[in-house]
Amino acid sequence: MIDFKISNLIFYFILFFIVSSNIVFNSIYFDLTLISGLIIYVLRWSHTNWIICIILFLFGVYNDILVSTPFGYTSSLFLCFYLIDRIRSFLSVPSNTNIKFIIFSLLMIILSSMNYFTIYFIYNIPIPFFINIMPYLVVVLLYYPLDFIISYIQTKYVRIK
Amino acid sequence: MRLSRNLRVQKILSPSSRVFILAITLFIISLILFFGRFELTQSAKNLRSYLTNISYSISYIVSTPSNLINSGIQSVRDLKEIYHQLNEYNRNKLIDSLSFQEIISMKLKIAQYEDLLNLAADQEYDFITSRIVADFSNKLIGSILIKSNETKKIFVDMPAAGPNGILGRVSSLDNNIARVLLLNNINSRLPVSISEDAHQGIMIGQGQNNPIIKYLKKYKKIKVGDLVTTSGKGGIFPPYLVVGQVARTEGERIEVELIEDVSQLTHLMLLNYKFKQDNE
Repeated sequence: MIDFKISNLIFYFILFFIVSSNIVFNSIYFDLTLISGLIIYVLRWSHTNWIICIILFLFGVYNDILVSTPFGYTSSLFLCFYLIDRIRSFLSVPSNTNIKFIIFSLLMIILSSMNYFTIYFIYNIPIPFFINIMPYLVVVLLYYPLDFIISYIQTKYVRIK
Repeated sequence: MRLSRNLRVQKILSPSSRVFILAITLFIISLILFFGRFELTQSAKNLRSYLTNISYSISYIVSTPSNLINSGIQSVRDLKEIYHQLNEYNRNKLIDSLSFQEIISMKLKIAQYEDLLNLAADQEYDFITSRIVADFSNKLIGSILIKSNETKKIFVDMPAAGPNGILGRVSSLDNNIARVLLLNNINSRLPVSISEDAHQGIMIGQGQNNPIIKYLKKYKKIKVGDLVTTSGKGGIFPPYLVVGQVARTEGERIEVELIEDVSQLTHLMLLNYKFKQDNE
């Protein structure tokens, strides 16, 4: 039996801290929303804990209000990262770090393309390729170090009955 | 048959499936809010302006460690800058004392000429000084949060300016927190006047890129280095305030380099322009 309660609280606070740090860090290369998404994706959430979905949704709304992004943007991103892992396990895709990394990288490519084309077609603004891809690339590069740290914290709180 | 149906029902009603359904439902709600452009509705605007102060207060407390690190780095940079400036000042002290005399005599001459030409003095506006508390200028939806003690005097669409020129306008306000929509915001539209010939156009924010000017009739006459000022059309911004300079021209595409760099500012001025107009 795995007890996630303490680690869950730690990660809720980490996510809350990262989202709140948006008021301090203003960088083109580090998108704290995407970094929060990476943490959500890497974490091994409890599949029966319904409060996680509500918290992720509320964190999204909180981020949208703080950063002034359109309502629903961050919450859909957070829940997408959460759901991808659930769908992966539902489809019985093995929970291998490398496979998870490939799925994550593909998701990043899709998201960056969507971001680019949305801004290009709706606002008629061509963003330079480098500026568009950089935050996504940083998050992909952070995958393995973050996965290592988070796995370490989560296994520390594993309790065998 | 019945057994398999029961098993299916059991599977759907299992706690894991229920959480999955809840996540899917919330995800769909989020997508509806996003693609349905909920933020354009009045209730969303009210909700956002009402919750900005609360979310800022929470985030300010939670992000205290990051804030301390950031302000520490900033203080070190400032000290380095002051030390550098002091050295520079000592080096130029002698030269300055000579040029000071020249400047004074030139200023007196300018005053005499202005008097002879009957030039009107530059228009000045009442302003409220506000502190920048959060900077989101590097995002596509570039904005800043400001705090002021005189919030009762602040209103939506109030022009915000730095020491050199215009920065943006107030887009929403709460008790003592207001959000300023910057000129680089992709939703920003500013009527501008370019060069001495006062060519009229609309400046559109481009996120991290330089803003561009559209709807210009005589775009071929625009040269790199031409001054861009507010035209005053629309009534939100006062006229003749410096916006920036033309940085690049490529056919109809005219890029403007903004005169104000928000990341270098700690305070800004909120011009009491509309307020003055209404009272006149």
